[in-house]
Amino acid sequence: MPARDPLSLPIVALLFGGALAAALFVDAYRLTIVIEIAILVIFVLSIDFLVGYAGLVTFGHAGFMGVGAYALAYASHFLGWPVGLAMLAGVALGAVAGIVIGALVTRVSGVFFIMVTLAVSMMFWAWASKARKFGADDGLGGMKRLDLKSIGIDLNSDRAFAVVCVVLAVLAYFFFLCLVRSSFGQALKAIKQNENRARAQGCPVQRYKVAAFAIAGAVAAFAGELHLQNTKFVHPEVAHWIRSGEGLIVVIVGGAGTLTGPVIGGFLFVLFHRIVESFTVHWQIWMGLLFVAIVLAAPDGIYGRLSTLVGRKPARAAPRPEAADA
Amino acid sequence: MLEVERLRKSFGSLLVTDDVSLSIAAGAREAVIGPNGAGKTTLFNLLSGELRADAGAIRLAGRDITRLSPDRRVSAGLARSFQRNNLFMGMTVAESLATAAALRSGESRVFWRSFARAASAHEKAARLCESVGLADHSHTLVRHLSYGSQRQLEIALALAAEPRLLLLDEPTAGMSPEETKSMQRLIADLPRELTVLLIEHDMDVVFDVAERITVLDYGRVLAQGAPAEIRRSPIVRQIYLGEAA
Repeated sequence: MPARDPLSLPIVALLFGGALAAALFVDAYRLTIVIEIAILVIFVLSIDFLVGYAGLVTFGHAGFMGVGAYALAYASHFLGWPVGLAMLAGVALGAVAGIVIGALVTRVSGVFFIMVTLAVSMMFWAWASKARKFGADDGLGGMKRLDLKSIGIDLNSDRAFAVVCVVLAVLAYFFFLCLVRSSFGQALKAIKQNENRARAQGCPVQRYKVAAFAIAGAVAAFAGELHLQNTKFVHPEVAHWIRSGEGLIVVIVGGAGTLTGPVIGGFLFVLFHRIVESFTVHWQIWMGLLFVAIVLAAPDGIYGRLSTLVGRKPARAAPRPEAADA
Repeated sequence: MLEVERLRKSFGSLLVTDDVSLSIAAGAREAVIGPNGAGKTTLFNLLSGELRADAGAIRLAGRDITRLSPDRRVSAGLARSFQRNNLFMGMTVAESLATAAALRSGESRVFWRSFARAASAHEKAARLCESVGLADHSHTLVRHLSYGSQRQLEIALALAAEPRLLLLDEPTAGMSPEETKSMQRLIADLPRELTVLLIEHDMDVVFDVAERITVLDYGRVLAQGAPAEIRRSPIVRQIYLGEAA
């Protein structure tokens, strides 16, 4: 087993600890930043699980956020289900969507794989943009947040909502940490390194990839539900390919194949956006320049570079597979 | 153990496996020889399921596996090594063997417990390292192994699949004479109950290991018999050993 990375725990503790402290003490505007970071972190962790650990580069992952958000909106707003139950249903639907889409897209590979994930997610976006019931491309407001009053938490307070989101992001981090270190995670690593050999060892490769899609789909759907509760608004934008692309960039800039990297990337993306936005409307240009600079200086992402700098091997899920042949 | 009946495979108009039939008894050691391009590796790919046969049948211990996927054939008891090293380059030797053990036992479906705690997989990996002579390298990254050691790992990975029938595709390809000797010993020391079918170019290895030899040329079975017969057969001497008849 590769040595555990000594950098990851301090960095993650610092970032999440900072976010939690911020959630408790900062003003109303900055609370929205904390919430946005927490939700983005959950989303990009699920992307990284597919991209960095299972080797499945998806360009349509926001589609699963859309599934979660729209399922929650439908079940709680139209069917009148309690939000908690509706959230469970949305996550389950995210997993089912992951299985269906996973079974479909894992039949192709390379660029075609990326294109199919993009196409499927944009089909969802196109449907949502025309769905009158959900306000089509205007979206629909009046969504409720989860009711935790029975345990003394009022999520309608942004502060409480921020704390809960940060805690959920921490849980998501440890959920994926557990997963990638498990025997199942090891099988995914084997598939990523050499699919052909994994199959020759008796591994039903396709099924493992579909399982990875189901897990990542469920978690992204969950992130979509939090996003909906944050804005109390359901809108097709949640599933747009720009969000998928941003998520992928955050993963790559932070360090794909590590869990700490995407967390760093998520914090950086939101903070940089909000800070630069206050100076210029052209924040995207500066964000683009920053990310190009990072990728040039650190091809392994920020975290991969940090790990190399302190002279330790990052706990990466290994390089691209060698050409497999027989 | 293995029954192959009139197996055919063509790529376009090129017939690469032409009516090949084989019958291998349990515990037997057999070799497939033939000049380059004779269709030996294609035959292995058909047996292991990486290629689908156009016609014919493959039975493993009486069970028809002709239509099974490669991973199902492994569960049915068939494992192979590859002619060109086909390994988990980013893992250590012990890690890749433990991974293979977990894939075989179904431990790899466990997502709630750390792989580091999959004790039986790690014990099995240690035993395999020992048995193929890689114990000293168990914590070496596979890509840092010497070529010869990578060949040994090829065999160890196939053994980790706990096969009843082991297909070895040119185990000594590219090896030095010393490495070839130790590989020869390794093959000779394989458990007797294991059925072994190997492709090999090194005639010393073939005549040392194999109890029966099948000669392929242009996808057809040219001759089949004991090593002594094959050595004497004029047609084999002419076409394969390259001597004037």
